[in-house]
Amino acid sequence: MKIATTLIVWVYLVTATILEVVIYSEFPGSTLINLSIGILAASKAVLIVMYYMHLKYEPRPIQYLILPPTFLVAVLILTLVFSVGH
Amino acid sequence: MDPINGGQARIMNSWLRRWLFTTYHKDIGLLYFVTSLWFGFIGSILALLIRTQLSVPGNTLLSPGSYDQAVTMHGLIMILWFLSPLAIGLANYFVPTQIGAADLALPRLNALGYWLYLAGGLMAALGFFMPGGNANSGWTSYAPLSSAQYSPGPGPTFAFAGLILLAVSITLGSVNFLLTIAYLRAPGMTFSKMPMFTWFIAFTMLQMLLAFPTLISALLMLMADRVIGTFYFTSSSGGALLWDQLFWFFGHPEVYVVLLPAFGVVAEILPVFSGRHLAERKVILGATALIVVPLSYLVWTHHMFITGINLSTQEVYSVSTLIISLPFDLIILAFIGTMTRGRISLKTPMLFAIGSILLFIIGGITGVFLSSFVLDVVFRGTYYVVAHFHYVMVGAAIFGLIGGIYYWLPKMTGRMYNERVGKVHFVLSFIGFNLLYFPMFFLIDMPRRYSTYPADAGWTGLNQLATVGAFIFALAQIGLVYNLVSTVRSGPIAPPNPWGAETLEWTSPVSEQPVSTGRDDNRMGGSGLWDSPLRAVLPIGTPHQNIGSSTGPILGMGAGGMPGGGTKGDYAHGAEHQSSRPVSLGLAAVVSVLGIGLLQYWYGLPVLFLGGAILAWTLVGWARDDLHGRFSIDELLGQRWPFHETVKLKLGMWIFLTTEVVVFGSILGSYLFIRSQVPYWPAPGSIHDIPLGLTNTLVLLTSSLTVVVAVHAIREGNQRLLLAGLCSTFILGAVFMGIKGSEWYQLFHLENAFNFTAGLPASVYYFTTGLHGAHVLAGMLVTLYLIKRTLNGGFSKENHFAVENFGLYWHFVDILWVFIFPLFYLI
Ligand code: HEM
Ligand SMILES: [Cu+2]
Repeated sequence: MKIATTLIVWVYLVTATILEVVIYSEFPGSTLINLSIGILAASKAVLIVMYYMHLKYEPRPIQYLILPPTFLVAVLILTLVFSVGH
Repeated sequence: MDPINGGQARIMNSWLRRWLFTTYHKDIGLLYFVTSLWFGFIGSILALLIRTQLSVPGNTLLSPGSYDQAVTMHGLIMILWFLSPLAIGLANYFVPTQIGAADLALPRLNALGYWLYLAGGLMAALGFFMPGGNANSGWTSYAPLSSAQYSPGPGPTFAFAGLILLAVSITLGSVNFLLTIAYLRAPGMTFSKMPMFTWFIAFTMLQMLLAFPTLISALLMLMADRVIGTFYFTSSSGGALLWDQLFWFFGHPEVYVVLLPAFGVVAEILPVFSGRHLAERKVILGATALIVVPLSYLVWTHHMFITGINLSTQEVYSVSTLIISLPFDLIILAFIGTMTRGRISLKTPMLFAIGSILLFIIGGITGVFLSSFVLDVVFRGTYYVVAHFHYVMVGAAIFGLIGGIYYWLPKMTGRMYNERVGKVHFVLSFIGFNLLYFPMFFLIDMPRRYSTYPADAGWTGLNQLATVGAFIFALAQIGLVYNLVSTVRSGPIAPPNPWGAETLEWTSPVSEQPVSTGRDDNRMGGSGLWDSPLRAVLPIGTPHQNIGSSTGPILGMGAGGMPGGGTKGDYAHGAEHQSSRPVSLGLAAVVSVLGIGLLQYWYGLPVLFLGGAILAWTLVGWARDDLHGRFSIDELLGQRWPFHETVKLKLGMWIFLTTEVVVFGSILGSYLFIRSQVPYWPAPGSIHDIPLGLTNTLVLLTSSLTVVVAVHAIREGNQRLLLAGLCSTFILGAVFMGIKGSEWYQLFHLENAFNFTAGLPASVYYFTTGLHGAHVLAGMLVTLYLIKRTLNGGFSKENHFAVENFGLYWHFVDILWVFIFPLFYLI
């Protein structure tokens, strides 16, 4: 990986973070905004995993390793949030 | 000096050193084995107390309070300190030998796992002797019963902290075993040839890997509730339900964690004693890998059918529970198929294996009824459930594992056990067990966990049958103890492969046993098969396949457990492979937990500090060992598919990170759950300082950049840039912690102090950011070590994996913050 890529990723991370704060302070509270903040955060996470943690350049089996826990956490969170009420 | 006494002292000394400092898998295996039997003994005493109490209606032998403690600790000790560790003991001993590895991938971590397990168990047992007694909220530790309000005192705190130590031990162990099985197989030992026991241990570890982290998080939150007064599980906004979800997310996979090793043992024993190959090996493996393991994570709410979760959730989980019972049918059919066309030899291991299958069938069928949420409403909380899970946990799992003990005893000791005693042991166990639990299927209206019952309920007769059965079952275990002791002491020398088994462990020499009298005899143990290592690695099922003669010698070396030949017996790990650090970390854990449990007294804090000091001292020592290369392991080349392109420690780190994902996933999930339950939440910006949080986020993101620079630098061999990168990372980490600290300080000193006990928003904030901060701090300590090592010239273009691995960890901690910041500051 080139050092330039590293820097670009860093610039994105910083920009996205500032964007999160800006979005929040412009229109706090709505579901849509919360969602977009969540998406920004997730995009940052993906970039860090892919480039800083090098997952993009790892062999397939290593790349697959991270899927089961991510999936399980998603199931756990969905069950937690949606099992009550309705 | 008296020469004889001097000699004895020296022997004693080296004996102690061996068992305290060992990192060798067979030694650790024996430690687990013996320790788990002791915990089994303690658990049995509690069980007999329970059964005696219930033998007559209105009994007052145990007060309701003591009864609750007995039931709670019986369950916890039996499941977590006896059953699983017994399997881990066998796994430690035999997984490396079955795959031809010299040891586990990370021997010191393995030793650490044992000491944390023991430390946790001691703390849990210590709870009985505390004022107020031990934990009494059931093995499920349901909230809010487990809170400081309803279970006050140091006893429950010790038990829950002990559970944390245990869960950490198991999580580390699962990383270690998976890494070993993935990475250290001997040449020729492909997955398709891997023995069934190793396969099932791999499945077990896969379940532990992602199930126990949730338990760790849940217990950490529980401890925070108990010790610093947060409200995770005590709030009326779903606190009890939150515990249920987290506990059973762990708890259901845990039932398979208990079961699968026994299936692995049974799958080894059946073919050997049926004189034919295991039927449908691929079907068994496929069904377990593709259905049981993944689905076991997706059925947990069947334990919560009456907690008020909504109907659609119940339906989904009822169906998934039904589905997961199907692969078990396949497995059982394959097991039976193996026997039907074979020439069965009813030796003790086989008897226990068959017993295990029979009892599993009963336990499994009764479980299917429970998976219907309609029926479960009736059965839940009754002795029917008690009968169901004892048929699977004791019947299937313990019978299977005892079969494994008999099966491998000749290999572990070099001696034969007494067959007749073994058979009597089986028959009495089988009768006693059924007498104990079968009557409970008829107690469908008797509630469990009650300390007594009225005489006119009509339950007396069945309860008395059960109590008689319990004593028969318990006394029958004298047979096991007798056989263990007498085999080690004076059993006849066993042939190297008494059962004619085909798996690799039978070719490895018997290790020297400290308890054995005739070391020389033992050494002869395995040599008989050394001339045919090829035969040994051949898979059950394809005896004619040729794996290529060139692998022969290498294989023999791996199987000997010692690179460089096996003539001396395979306890070849001398002083350089002993380490005092694991046991000393175990000690640090014990002392720290003592301190935490006793915080309510004035001496709690000093004790906690002492624990911290031992911890710090040990970590420094561990780091120095590494700096001086005192514990380096040679790696033999082996079968590494599909991970052949990855460095061992990197693979280990990635596996470890999967557990961390679940730890923090469940913590953030708890936060989201609480947010969905609590109607009022302080508006963003009203409590947390957003500009400060933003600054800190940028600091941490930048520290990731400096780590990338450091890794980059050393890949090019640039040590000065590496040093600069590491130092900047350390400084940025320190800045992050500094800002964090000042934030906490300000919040504490707000007009309406926003402290630990200021309500749910404060609870989740302090707990989550606190745990994250602890991770940052740990990372900073590692940076210090790396800096020191860089200064020593310890890294080069070729040798930089430690830096890379640290990078993985640090970025991960960074990612956590990427989520924590918006969740806590902006939303
Ligand atoms: C395979 C080995 C199994 C083990 C070790 C096991 C273990 C357990 C345990 C410990 C409980 C009690 C939970 C409590 O404390 O309340 C339990 C309950 C239950 N088991 Fe199993 N089980 C096994 C197999 C099955 C199977 C095959 C099924 C269904 C297909 C099943 C379905 C259930 C259900 C639905 C419950 C909830 C009962 C209740 O508490 O209301 N189990 N099981
Ligand atoms: Cu379950």
